[in-house]
Amino acid sequence: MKNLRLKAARAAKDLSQQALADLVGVSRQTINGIEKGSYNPTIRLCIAICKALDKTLDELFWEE
Amino acid sequence: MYDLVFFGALAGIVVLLAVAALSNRITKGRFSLEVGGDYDERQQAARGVAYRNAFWTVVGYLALFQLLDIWNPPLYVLSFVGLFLALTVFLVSCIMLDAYIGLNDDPKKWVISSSVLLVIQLVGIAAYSPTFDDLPVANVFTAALLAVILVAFGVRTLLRRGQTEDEE
Repeated sequence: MKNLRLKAARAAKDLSQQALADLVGVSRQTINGIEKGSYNPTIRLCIAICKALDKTLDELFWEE
Repeated sequence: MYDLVFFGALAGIVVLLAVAALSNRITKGRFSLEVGGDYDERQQAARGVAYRNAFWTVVGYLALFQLLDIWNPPLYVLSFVGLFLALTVFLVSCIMLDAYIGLNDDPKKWVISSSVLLVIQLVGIAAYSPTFDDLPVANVFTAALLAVILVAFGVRTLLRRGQTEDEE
């Protein structure tokens, strides 16, 4: 399932996928996979992404 | 039984392993034979899939030739074919899953070094004209492997050309 909230949060911070990937220490393809829903990140990566985007886990990763 | 070519090849493998381990000791602070950069969690999972694919390729290859008994080359040729088949499957899987280039690695470095190595192998093939009955046939297998790597890089680049990061 696509993660549109992550994409929106990233766009709100004016960050490219590469920039967010650099912030959390992963490859751009990994961020792309998370946004497309083709890759399920570990909780550690989820937390790192939340910290980078100033969001909570619920806001970015909880299923609606 | 073991001639100079065999010991030369063995020495080359030992030197390669020693250089890889020493290079990692200098750049990463640890003795390791893992070449390339660090990989993120998705890449590590993808490489696990690639390793599995390579493993089953070797199993299938050995089972096929044991069961069918259709080809009886020298033992080292049989081994090289299996080895290079597995390596090819592993490397192509990694490249297509974006798990070949590490986080801080430059793809151009791998393309250039693979191209240079391919040229070196082709020079060796032209110089020795190896057959399946002598050890320099390893040059043929290595050249084929490097060519497949370069083709895989090219295919991956073509598939992603023109796509924005959000459309991948």
